[in-house]
Amino acid sequence: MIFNSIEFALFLPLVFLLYWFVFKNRIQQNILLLIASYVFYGWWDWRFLLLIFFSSFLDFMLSKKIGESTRKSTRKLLLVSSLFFNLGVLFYFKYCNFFIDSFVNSFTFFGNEITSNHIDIILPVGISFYTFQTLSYTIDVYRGRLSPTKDVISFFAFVSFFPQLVAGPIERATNLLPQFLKERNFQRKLANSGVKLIIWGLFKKIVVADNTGILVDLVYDNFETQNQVALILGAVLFSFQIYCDFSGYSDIAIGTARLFGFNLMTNFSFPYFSRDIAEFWRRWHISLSTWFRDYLYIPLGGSKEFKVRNVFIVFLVSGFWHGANWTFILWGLVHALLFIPLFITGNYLKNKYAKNKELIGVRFFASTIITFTMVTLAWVFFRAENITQAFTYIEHLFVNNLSDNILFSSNKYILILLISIFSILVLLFIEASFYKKNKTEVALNSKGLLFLILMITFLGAFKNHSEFIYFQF
Amino acid sequence: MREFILKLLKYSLIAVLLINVVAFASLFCLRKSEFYKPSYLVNHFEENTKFDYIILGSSRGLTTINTKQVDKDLETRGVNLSIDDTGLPTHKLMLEHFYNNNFEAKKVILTLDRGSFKKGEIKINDNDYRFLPFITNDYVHDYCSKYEKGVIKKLSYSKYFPFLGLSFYNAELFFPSIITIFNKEKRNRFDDYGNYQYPAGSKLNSNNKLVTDEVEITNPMVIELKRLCKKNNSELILYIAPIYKTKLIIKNDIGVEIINHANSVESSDNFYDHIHVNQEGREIATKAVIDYIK
Repeated sequence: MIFNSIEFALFLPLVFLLYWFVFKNRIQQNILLLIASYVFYGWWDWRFLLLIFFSSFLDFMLSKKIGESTRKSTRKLLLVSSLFFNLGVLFYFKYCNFFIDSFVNSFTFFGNEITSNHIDIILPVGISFYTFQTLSYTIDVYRGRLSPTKDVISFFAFVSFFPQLVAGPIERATNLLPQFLKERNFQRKLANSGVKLIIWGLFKKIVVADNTGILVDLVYDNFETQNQVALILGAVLFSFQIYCDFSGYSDIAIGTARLFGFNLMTNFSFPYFSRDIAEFWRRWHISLSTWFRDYLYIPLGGSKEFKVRNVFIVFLVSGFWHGANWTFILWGLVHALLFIPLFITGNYLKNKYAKNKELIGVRFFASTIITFTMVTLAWVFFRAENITQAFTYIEHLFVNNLSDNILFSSNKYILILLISIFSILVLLFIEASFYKKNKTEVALNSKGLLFLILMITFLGAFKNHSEFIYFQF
Repeated sequence: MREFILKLLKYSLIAVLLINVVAFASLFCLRKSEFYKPSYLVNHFEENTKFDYIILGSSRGLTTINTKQVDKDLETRGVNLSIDDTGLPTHKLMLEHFYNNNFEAKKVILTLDRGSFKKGEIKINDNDYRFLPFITNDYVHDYCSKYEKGVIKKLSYSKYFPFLGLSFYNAELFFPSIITIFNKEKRNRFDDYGNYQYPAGSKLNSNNKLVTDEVEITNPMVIELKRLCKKNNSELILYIAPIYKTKLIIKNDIGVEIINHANSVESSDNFYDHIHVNQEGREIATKAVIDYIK
């Protein structure tokens, strides 16, 4: 079930009404959320439920044992078992074919012929997200930062919580699980802000991401024959497509959770107003970057030893987390290369404490544009089908004698381009006004929301809508 | 909680009202324009106009017979009401639209595509949204209700909530409606006579051998169209437009006159693609039709 579907439009009010009016105590509400989440997830393919059930059960039991055990070696063994099983499942479903292909290709490169068979696997939706979420629980229990819960229903509901199950934010057990363990009362202010975020998220997804997506697909499908203007537009539009697609999902997820009295962490905080790559990573997919900081970077030694190596590893793993393709690894590598100079010189903290309103001006504008350009070029690796395509695309961006521009080839595409540009300007205008006030999220008043609803209705790409990009991860 | 739900309902109601008002205004503008064929028919011609013939069909009907040439040579009055990317159900809907708006025609020339010779799956066609400005008319609403599938029937429910169809087809309906505010006579790729032609000089690059096929027309919808024509004192004629290097031998058991011009244009230079003639091919095909009628 996806957020921008008729099914979800019926599902959400139904669960909301049952949650607050029928099931009034915490245990009943948790059972309802668990059932609703399994229905939500099983809507794709009921077989996926077995996997999430297995993953939840395993981490619940192993963490319980970790909590009970006093021997360090036993605790470590239990943690390693959890890591082995969770990452093993992730590896099997997501990366198995990639490694088979890479292995075969490397042998072919050295002159040996190997035949291989692909394993016919369907990638379960959102597997990378909930695997990381359950892992965070077990690791935190091992580290003693969290006591293992005895409430199996709450734990299962925490792992499968439908608003953020398939595309995050990747919640920490330390933040989300305690919310399942305490009584929840309806908070009007929280629910109001939730509705506002849902509408804002729908605008980002249906108007910006889905319209730009049509044009991006056109350009990337025909990039070898397109002129520089088309390629630049394709790259810039993809920057907004990926941002609005993913952050739109996060906004709807956070907003939906608030309707049920839950507070999820902020996942995006106006990333395209970043003044350098370091700031970009403090504002982009915050739940993932902080996850890697806490569970990978710090265990590797953090800033104490081999810090450059550690940063490098984090970026590579982050790229690989996104998908089983060399393009994602290269995307991570590009970001590592952009980030490490700032890291070495210590400049990565420069913009951290600066007040947003103090930096509006020519300097701010120039550094923002430069950062956006670097991020946009890196997105080419992320969007391309393979590395060759990515490099050819970038080469054609700079050296190009072609005259075709598919975006101007029909009235329909010109219209979609105009809608895309207009909606991006609206997006930037609204975000800039909240950014200047040092807010972390957009919260429009009723007039603003009505304007967004009009835009969604009359400018939304309903006929050519696409799935959320991050579902594939 | 109560306050939250009441506020939510209040603003939802305001939003639904607002978007319906905009959608209604948008459809009204389209209804009063000439942008799409259904509106063009109603607004371009006087009510009770008596045509000597009308042409129905999909893209092959739209681009083959030049009604301007036919009218000039035969001193007749005709109009091309074909809509691209449509099928027999839409042609029937167009005919109902024609009669319901008090127009008359002596002959109804239906350009029948090969895919429509036999009974096929009946579904909403890609360009049926062009009838949406007339969704309050029973024959349009009945058509949409009958053939539209899915939980939310966007077109048929638009009778009560016009925003449903308009938002789904916003690029095709909402934006053209804005254009029609400034230019009511703007049309979507067809001329004063309802015709469209593929660009001059566009040629098919092919060298196939002539193929002869024996076919039969058995589609019950053709019989329904025949009945509808008879009821309104019109004569139905089936027209088989040129197909590159294809000769059709048609078994005619349905009692409808057939103009079989499948092989009337021969050279690939006169085709835009295998099933559409270009400007030169159109002239040849039109001349063949004029000769046939003479």
